[in-house]
Amino acid sequence: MNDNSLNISELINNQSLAVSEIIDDSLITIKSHLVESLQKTQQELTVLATKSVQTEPVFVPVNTPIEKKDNTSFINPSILTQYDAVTVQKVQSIANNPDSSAKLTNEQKQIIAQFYGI
Amino acid sequence: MRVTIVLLLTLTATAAFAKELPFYFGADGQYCKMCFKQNYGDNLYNKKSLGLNPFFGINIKDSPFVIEAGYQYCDSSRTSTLTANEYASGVQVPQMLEPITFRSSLKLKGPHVSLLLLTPRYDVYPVQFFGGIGISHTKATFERATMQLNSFIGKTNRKMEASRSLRRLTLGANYFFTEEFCIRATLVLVNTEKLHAFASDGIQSHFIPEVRPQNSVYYGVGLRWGF
Repeated sequence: MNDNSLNISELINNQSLAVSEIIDDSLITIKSHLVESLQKTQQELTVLATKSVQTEPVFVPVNTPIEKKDNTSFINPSILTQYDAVTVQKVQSIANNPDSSAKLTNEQKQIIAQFYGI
Repeated sequence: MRVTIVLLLTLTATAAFAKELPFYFGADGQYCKMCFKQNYGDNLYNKKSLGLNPFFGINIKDSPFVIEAGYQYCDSSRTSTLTANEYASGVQVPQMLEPITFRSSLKLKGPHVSLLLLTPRYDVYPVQFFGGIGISHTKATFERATMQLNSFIGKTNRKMEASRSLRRLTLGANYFFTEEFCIRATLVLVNTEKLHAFASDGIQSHFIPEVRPQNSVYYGVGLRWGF
């Protein structure tokens, strides 16, 4: 009777050890996957941030260019004011800073002129 | 005083009313003065413009009233250079783009109709006064070409348009050489203040150019034939 009970307890111990090993392995695998994907995301973000710094100053409007309409029809003014506040502030500060006049090309100045509707 | 009264009574008693012909037509040369609200066109558009007003009138039978209809057209242009802190059609000139040279032009055109009251006309005294109210449907086109931006040549043409029905007040005088033919002088006040024009050219921009005219006065001199 005692022998049987010892065998059973030994068996249970062995099984529980095996299960805990499987769980540990799984956790390690999940952790390594997570770390890997986080590193990948971080790398992508770094690349994007570098790109956005390189392309400054940003004058590109948020909305897509609208079709040229018949001259006699009126265009809803709200269509033309879809720039975000940050872009507006940035362009205004550049346009009213005498130092930036020399730095920008004529093409960039023309973009500013278009922004101002001139 | 007594002499004046006697003279007037004599004139009234002896003068015969001249016959009003049922129809007339003619044309006025006009000088239009239209100012603009500050920063909304005052430094770009010419306040003074020249125009033409062909007209046609129908005398209402057995009454001193006339229905007159016509078509008014006037235009002008102006070149102006603006610097930073000045406004071009409601938009402040940016510092880096100054000075900017614009070539601006305006056109006002449209039909009109008025009910005019004529004073009696005497054979011995060939002057007749008239006045009345009416309505005109005016289309205003304000164009602005950017000639030079800072140190480079500009290439943008902006167009602002407005089309409204406007009230008009007409005052004038006819001087008759014959029963059919007369010269006339007119003064017309039009509430062009309502012609608030926005950009209608489809060019995308954050700041939208707009023009705000004030009420205008038309001074006209013309010829009129009755039949």
